[in-house]
Amino acid sequence: MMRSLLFAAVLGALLALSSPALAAPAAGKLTLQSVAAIGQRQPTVQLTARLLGPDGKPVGSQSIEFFVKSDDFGGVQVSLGTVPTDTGGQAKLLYMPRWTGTLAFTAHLIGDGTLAAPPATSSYLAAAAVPAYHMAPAPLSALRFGVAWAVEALAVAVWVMLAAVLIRVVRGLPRLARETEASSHIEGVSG
Amino acid sequence: MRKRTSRTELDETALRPVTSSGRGFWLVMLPLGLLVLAALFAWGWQIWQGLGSAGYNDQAFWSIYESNLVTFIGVAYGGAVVSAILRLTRTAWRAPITRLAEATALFSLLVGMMFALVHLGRPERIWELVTRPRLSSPIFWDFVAVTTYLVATVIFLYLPLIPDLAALAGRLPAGSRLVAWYRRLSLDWRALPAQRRLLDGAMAVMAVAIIPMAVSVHSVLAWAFALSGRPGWDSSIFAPYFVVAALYSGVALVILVVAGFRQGYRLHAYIGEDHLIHLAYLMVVLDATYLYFTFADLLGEGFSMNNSVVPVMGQLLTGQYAPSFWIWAVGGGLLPLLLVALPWTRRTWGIVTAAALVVAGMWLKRIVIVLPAAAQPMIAGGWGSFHFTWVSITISVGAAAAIPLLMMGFFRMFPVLSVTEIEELAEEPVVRPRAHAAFGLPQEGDEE
Repeated sequence: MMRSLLFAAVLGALLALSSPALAAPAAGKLTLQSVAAIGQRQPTVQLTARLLGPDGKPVGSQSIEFFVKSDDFGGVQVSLGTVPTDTGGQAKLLYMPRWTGTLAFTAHLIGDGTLAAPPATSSYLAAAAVPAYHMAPAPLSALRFGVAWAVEALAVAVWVMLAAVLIRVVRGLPRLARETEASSHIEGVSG
Repeated sequence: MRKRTSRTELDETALRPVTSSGRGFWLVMLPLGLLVLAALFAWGWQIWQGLGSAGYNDQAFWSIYESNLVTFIGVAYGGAVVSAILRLTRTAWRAPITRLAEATALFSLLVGMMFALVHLGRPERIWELVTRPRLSSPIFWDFVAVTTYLVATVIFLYLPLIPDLAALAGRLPAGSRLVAWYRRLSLDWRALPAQRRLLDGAMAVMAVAIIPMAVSVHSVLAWAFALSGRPGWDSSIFAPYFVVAALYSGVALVILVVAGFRQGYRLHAYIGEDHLIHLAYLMVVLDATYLYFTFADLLGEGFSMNNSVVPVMGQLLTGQYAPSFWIWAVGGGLLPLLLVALPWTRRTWGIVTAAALVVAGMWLKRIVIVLPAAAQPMIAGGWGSFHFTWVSITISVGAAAAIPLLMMGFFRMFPVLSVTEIEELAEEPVVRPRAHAAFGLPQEGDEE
């Protein structure tokens, strides 16, 4: 019994020492930069995250996830994608802004656990944006709103016709009664 | 043959509901009123609890309320068009039934329009149809067409009332509070030839105009389904299919209303069995047309075996909706045809039974038009299902009760018969078509 417990303790200690995940990660440094991308047809932001190791040298092959803060859904962080760092320690992502105004970006180091770095933030003032949602092709879109306006004109014409009929009756009947009364009165006087 | 009655008898019959309401009137009004109150309570409950309390869910997003909307607006269409066609063709037997048909049109339209609100989880947002209209949406055009049709129906009911209101103003006791209203609404009517010409002209314009208006209402209603592109609804004949369905069920409801008021208000001297038989002939012509349209619609979709339509067809003809479909086909399509075609059932009881089968059957038909296409899975997963709940049933029954309730309330203030028109037509020589004898209809001199 004692031998089994001793064996388990030794094995556990060896596993703990041999596992890099359980070792304290080294402190790295993550920075984020957001600038307007050049040569793009649509308004685009170039996001560049740079990861440095404890010795200040760039670290490659570490995953960086980019986020943008959305005003929708109570201001959640929307993931834009994950990019590995290159040999220069840089992870780059092109993003087309979905709305104008100040955009708050964040980069998180996911990595492999050997390195830890606090998230980096950057803000960008987007003057132009590409809407996320595109309208589905409208029915009869080739004719644009010509058909709808024509039908609307027809509806207005029907309303005018209804009003004309009603006004003609409401004004005409009492007028005819008055005219008949007046003419019979004249006939009575002249008679 | 109905006996000829004097003007005094005619006035008395038409005015009886206005001047006095018997115990029978309140015995009918009370349960109808309670049903309507129960429906209002259920609607309030639905607004409080959400549309789920009416049996709706993500996979059955259109169901009973859309069926009710199409049914009630459909019967409204039938009432108005029957009256318009009878007026335009100057049909001699129209006079005692046109007012009932026009009132049926107005009140079933009002009730039908309510279902657009009931279907909305947030009914206060109906104003966004006005403030934020989307011109390419059939729902917006539905709103435009139905409101236009409502105004036209009110005018169409009002114009023939004018001479009767003037006549009634002179016959009611001077102290009656209705007299002042009658005088105001009768527009100083004195039955002058010039006034008659003006009113006849306006009524002719309205009778012509209301037919395309009614066609537009039901066509737009059909396009709200057909333009969705959903298998089962995406049919090129949906607009005329809906129009014929509306006429068919509308004529059936007019028969029920005419028979009901004939019995309840003792109008046998003016509305005979021959009126019901004439209307029944109209109904079976529309019945045959509707059956043909149904066949054409199913053949086109079924023969092509389009993959997206096959599941809907299967559910409709042999699946979970098959009992409803075949009950309609037999009860709402074939049986009414037989009841009117066979001479020994072509009596008041047979015609009323046929009309009741048509009204109920056509409601069921609207359910099987709406539900299978809505409940089919478009992306993945199983078929959706709609379960009737006390909320949706109470609202539907209350709405059906609201039509006779409103009509009886209306005829508590306005004459149920078009008195002036009956008199005018009684003075004209009656020309009976040869077909009248050929089909065994009552002839001049026959005893009823």
